[in-house]
Amino acid sequence: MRYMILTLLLTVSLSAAETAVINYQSAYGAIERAGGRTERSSVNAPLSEGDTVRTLASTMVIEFSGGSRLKLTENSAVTLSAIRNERRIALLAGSVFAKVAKLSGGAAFEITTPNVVAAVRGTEFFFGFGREKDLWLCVNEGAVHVASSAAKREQTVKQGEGVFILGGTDITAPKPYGWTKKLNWNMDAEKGDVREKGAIKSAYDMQRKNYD
Amino acid sequence: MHAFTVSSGASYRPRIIAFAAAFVFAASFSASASHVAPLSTGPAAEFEGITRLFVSFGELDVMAEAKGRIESINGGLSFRYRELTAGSYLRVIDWLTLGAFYRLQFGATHNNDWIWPSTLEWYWQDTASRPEHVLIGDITFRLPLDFIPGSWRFELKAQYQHTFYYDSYSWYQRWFTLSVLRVRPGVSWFILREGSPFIDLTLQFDGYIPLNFDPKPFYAWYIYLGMLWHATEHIAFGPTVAFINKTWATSLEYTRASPGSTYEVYHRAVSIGLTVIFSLEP
Repeated sequence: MRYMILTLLLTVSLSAAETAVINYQSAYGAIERAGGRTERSSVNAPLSEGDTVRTLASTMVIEFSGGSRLKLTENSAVTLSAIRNERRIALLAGSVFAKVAKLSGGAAFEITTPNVVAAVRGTEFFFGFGREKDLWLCVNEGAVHVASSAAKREQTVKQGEGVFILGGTDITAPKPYGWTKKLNWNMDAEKGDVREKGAIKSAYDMQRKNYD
Repeated sequence: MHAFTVSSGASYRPRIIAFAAAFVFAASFSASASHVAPLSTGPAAEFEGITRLFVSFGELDVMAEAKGRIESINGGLSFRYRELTAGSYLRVIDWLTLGAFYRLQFGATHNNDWIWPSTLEWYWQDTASRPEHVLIGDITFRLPLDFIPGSWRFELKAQYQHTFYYDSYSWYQRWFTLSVLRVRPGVSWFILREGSPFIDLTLQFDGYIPLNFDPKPFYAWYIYLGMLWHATEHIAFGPTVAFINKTWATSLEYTRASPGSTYEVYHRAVSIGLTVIFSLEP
C-alpha cells in the first residue's frame, strides 16, 4: 500500500513537472484539445501536449513548469507540440513573447513555424508574424538561435538585436530595430498591463512616420 | 503768339531742354502707368535645399526644419528665401496626427511686393531681410494602401498657415497678415529591405488656398515628385522635383498707380531640390 501511494505521488509529481497552464488571460480564448474537442479557455486551465491555444481578442500567458512563460498577443495561435524535456511550440498565427528559464542539460525550448526554428536557453525574446508570412524575432535578454530550413541559413540573435525573416524563410543579419523598444515584455499582471499594444505594426511604420 | 516773343536765343534753348525732359518723363510715366503689371514668367529653373530633424518621444515627434530656396525673380536667380521651422506632431491614432509649428522666414514674396518706388521701374521688392512669422496648424491623415501590391501609403495633409509681417516700404509702412489653407494629397511607394524602408517615392499635389487675399481658389500649386533613400535608420536623403505654378494678383502699389486696374499673372518654374532628414529616437 505504501509503495502504491509513493508511486502515485511520483506520478503526480512527474505529471505536474510536465504540464503547462494558462496563467493569465485578458479575456477568454479557445483551446483545441489534442483529442479534437474545443473549449473556452480559463485561468489555470491545464494544457497538454498537442493542444492548440487561440487567443482571439485576448492576451494570454502560458506558464510552463520550471518557470518559463509564453505570452500570446491578440489573434495569435500556438500548438504545444512538445512540453516535456524538449519544449516545442508551433507558432501558427500572431506573435509571442517567450521568457525561458535556464534549462537543465539536454532540455530545449523551441518555437517553430513551417520553415523557421528559434531555439533558446535562458532568454527572453519576441517572435511573431508581421505582414502576411513575414516573421520578426527580437531578443530582450540572452540569445536566440534561429534557423531557416527553407533558406538553409542560421543566425544567432543577441540581446538588443532582431532579425526580419522575409516571407518566413530568408533570415536577415541581426541588428537593432527601433520599434522593438515599444514591445511590452511584462508577463505579470500584478506588475502592470500584460497586453501587447501592437508594437509590431510600427515595424511597418511608413503609415505612421513623419517625413515633413 | 506771346510765347513766341521770347527774345533771347540763350534763354530759348533751356526751355526746349526742359520741355523735352518733361515730355520724356511724361511719356515714361505714361508708359509705366500702362505697363506696370509684372509679366508672366517661366518655366524657369529654381533650386531648394531642406534639412529636417525629427526627435521621436513615443507618439510625439518634435521637428526642426531649415530651408533655403533660389528663385527666379526680376529676370534672374536670387537667393532670398530662407526659413526655420520648429514644432511638433502628436500622433492621436495610427492614421491621424496633429501638429503645431512656428516658422521664421525671410525673403518670401507676396502680391504686394510688386512695387514702383522712386525710380522708373517696377520690380519685385527685395524681401531678403524682411522677417515674417508664420503660425501653422497641421492635421495629417495617413492610410496604408494594402490593396495595392507592394507598400503604398496615402497621405492627406491640411495646414492652416497664418503669416504676419511688417513691411517698411515707404508709403505704406504697416503690418500684413495672410491666411492660407494648404491642402496636400499624395501617395508614397516604399521599397523595403530587411523589413525597413529603403527607398520611397512620393507624388503629391500641394495647393495653397488664400483665405484673405486673391486669387482664388489657389494662389499657388505644386506637383511634387520626391525620392528618399533611407541610408540608415537615422538618415534619409534624396532629390525632389516640383513643378511650380503661382499666380500674382494686383499689388497695393499697382492699385495706387492705376486705380481700377487689376492683373493676374503667372509664374511657372521647375524646382530641383535636395532633402536630408535626420530621425532620432532617444
